[in-house]
Amino acid sequence: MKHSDLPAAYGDNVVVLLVQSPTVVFAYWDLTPAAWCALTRRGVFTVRFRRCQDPGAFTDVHPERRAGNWYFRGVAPGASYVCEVGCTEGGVFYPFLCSTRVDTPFNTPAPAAEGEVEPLAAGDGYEEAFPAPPPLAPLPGSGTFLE
Amino acid sequence: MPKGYLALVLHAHLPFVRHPERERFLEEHWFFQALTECYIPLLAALERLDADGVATRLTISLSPPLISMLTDALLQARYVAYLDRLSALAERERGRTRGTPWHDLAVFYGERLAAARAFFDRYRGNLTAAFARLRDAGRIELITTCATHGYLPLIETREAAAAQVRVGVETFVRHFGRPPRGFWLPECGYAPGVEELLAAAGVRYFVVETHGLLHARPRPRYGVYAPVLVGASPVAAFARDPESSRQVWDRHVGYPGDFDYREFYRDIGYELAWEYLEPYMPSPEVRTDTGFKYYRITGPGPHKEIYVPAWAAEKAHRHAGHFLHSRQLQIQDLARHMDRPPVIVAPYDAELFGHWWFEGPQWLESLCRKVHFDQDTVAMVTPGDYLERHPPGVRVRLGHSSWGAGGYSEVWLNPKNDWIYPHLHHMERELVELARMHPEASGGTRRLLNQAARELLLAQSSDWPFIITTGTASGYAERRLAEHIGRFGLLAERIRRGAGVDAAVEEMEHRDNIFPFLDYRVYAGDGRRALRAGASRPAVLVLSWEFPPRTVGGLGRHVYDLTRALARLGARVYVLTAPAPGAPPRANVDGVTVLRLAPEALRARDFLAWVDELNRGLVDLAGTLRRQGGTWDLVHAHDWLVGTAAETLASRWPVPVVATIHATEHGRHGGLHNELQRTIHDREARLARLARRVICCSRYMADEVGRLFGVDGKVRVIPNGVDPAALRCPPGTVARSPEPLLLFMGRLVPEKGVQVLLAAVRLLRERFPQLRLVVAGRGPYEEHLRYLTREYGLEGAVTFAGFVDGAARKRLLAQAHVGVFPSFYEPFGIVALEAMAVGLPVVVGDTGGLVDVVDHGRDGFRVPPGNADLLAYYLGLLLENPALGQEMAARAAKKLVTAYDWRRIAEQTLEVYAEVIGRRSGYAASAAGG
Repeated sequence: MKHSDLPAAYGDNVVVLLVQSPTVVFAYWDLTPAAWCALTRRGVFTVRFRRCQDPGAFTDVHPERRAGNWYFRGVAPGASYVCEVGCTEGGVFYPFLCSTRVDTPFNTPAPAAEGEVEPLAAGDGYEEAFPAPPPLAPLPGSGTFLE
Repeated sequence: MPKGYLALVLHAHLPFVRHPERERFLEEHWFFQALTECYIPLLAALERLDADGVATRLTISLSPPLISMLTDALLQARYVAYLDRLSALAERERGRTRGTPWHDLAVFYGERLAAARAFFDRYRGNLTAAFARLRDAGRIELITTCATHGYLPLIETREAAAAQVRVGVETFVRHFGRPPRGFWLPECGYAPGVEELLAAAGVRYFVVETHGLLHARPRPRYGVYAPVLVGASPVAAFARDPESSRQVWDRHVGYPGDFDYREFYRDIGYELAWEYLEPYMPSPEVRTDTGFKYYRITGPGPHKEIYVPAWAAEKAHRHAGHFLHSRQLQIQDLARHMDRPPVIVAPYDAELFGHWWFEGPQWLESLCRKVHFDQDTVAMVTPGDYLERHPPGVRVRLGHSSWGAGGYSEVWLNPKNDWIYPHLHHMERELVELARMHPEASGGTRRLLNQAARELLLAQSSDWPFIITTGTASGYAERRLAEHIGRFGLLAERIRRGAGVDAAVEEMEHRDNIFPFLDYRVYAGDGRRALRAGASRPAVLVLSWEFPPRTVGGLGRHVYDLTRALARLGARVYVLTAPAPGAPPRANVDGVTVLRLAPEALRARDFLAWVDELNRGLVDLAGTLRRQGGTWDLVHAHDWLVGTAAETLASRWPVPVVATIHATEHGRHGGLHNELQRTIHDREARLARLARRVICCSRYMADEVGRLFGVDGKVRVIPNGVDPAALRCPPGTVARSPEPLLLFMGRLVPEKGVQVLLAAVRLLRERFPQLRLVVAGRGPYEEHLRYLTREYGLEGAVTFAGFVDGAARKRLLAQAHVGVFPSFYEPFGIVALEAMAVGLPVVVGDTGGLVDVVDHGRDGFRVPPGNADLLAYYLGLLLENPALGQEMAARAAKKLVTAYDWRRIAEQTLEVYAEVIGRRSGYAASAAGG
């Protein structure tokens, strides 16, 4: 059996968000034919990716696929997002499905608390506080090690 | 006394590459090569250290697929054949290289193969025994990982993630006799909530990548050099030290790249004539590694010189010394700033040692000897030991992280491999549903479900998306994924149509035979546990102010259905309740013993005085039951009206109390506005505090009860149930209305949102001129609703049906096209569930318990309360697209069976009972652990 033998879609009526990194979130959706027909009968199919903390902050895309996916790039680290699929009709977005919320991770350390001595965070002053041990003689790699 | 600790963690894992279908299989050689080059040399080194009295302390993580392969008779036999073939090759190589500079190396490899064979034979082919012996000797701490190395951040359902953890732990327990203290997160992949799954499996610690801890909130005081507690759990996280990792892992400056070390990529398998090699190759078409590698790295270019084992051994010793010296300096510096000894956690893939880095086991052995003999600044420790000596003092929230390239999930989720997730997630959802639909499957159905669980687990291996990303063996990875996904689909289809096991299924069982103990019910969710035959059953004393035939609200019916379901599962149930006309003082109702107060015991006119009489009477009734020989393990009180009796009984015959709080006075009235409400609220709070566990019917109610009464940690959510058969008209007796018909049922009060529904109907009338709405129910808001109906010009479209009895209710449910319940406040929303139970699509308010009942867009729609426009949109969508409504109704029907049937609810209730009576009273964790 090959990848191409698998079903192209299951018609689960789902939209799922997966966090790829602090700044990239992947969405996929899978609608039944009935849901697709209902949504596209009166308006434009819309995938809305929005930040939970700020209802006004959203991105709309209009892929013409009953089952598909999208990478939302440039998202904020340390924030919460949901994705809705629905239809835009007369300039109004009507959500049909909503993903569960995902939280992007922070990509920087938290600020040190006031007065806190924080000498131990590697990559954050650690190298200066504790210089690396004396280097060995050069250790060139094979160039392909661990590829 | 050491100033600090070094925790070396070696994670040993290979995907499950057992292929009985062919005598020789290329990918099985991954396992055989790792045995020869990595696992046996590592074990041999650890045994030498043990024999020499070196106080080694390492942590080794063994993945369940690896454990399964190490103990598999077929693979053990095939490994012997593999060694025989390579020994024959060694013999030919000795001849071929005689008189050349390579001859000594050919002899060297022949001797290594003989040593591997001797080691393997000493343990009769089962190397888990060697690991266990070293564990028992105190030289290593053994831990494990997810069942098939599933990458947890990308698993969608909690059930599937929990199954990866629980099946992993169960595999480990079955082979090593006790649960692991630690758990290796596959690829160090952490996502928030993982700690809860680990805590439920009894795990105490895991390891995250450096930035996983450094980016925590709040900032960890000691960076990566002390463990922290994660979230609200008792589970600790350690983090990888970047410095020690770099010295070993880094492809440019790491030790393994030294010029004197063996060159991995020059192997006679790619260099000699095919005719010469063919008898020793695993595949008739493909060249592969033989392990006969004659060159050292030499330099950065393509020119390579002969490998000299003595030079490489000397370098391994020097590098071990350098590594230790680096740790000493590091620890001396760190110790000055910390109030506890720093711990440097250095995790590596075990396969690095010996396979990729041929001299790795020598380096490791030398390091252990130097730590033991040459200094006293650094001591070796396992994370489990460290936790016992220095419990974490800090609690943090971790974000998603991994040790893959980029530090998050780019390796396992990118345009090359993202196609796999819709399949895997569909499988997860489908298996959860199937497991819930078949709570006690037997025979062929059970085999099909167990095999489906195996196929899902095997498809979830993190190795497949990794391999697809790297492109090294992507054809095999894609084929494996497609096979497991395809087999799962066939199995699910057979389960759904009630088919049995056929030859194709038997072939799947033969091929994918991992986890023979697997119990598919591990996918049924936290509340679903396997019954242990013959074990004792709990005895429960239920206190309820109403019980049929006395039913005032929904509580009596709930207690009636729940207690009968508990009795069917084997619990001994006594119900103490108020009198009811025509009901005897003692009766057996489907296995439930029901005892009622005498009518004359309740004479008070004042409500609270009546409640006091009720409670005194229930206590007296319990005393009578006790004198007659009745005993119970716990008291289950339903709502505050029986709280005083529960308190008295719990102190008179000390047993724990469980309380179900069906609704709160504060919630019902939007606050406390008079003395009676405050009194009731106080009594609710008293009961909640008395109870060892509080059961609520929805997450919304759980939040409300936790917030109002300060009892967050002991609240459990168990939904109400419905019995679809009791709500349906006999088939063919009532037809669906010819005009589009909306149905509302409920009390006519503002929080039910009928005023919003009327506004929505007004919006819809233009598109659906024949549209009708039936409003069934009574209440103080009715006059205003009638007024609005007139105002909106809907007199001809809206019918106020008043109170409807059971038969009329069934008829209306059968006639309507959509059930509409646009509430502003709803603790549970049983009426929506009842509509779903008879196949009616629903639109409900996005509030309270309705959030749990309706899965928006899948089995109904949820509307923000008060939004008439959106309500009209969804109603229009359903009226205009009947097929959509039918799909939703079909999904809802499945959910009714899997989540809201009384058997499941009773099982969840028994789990709560087991929590409070401190024993798994008749209910063991499922066979897959817990």
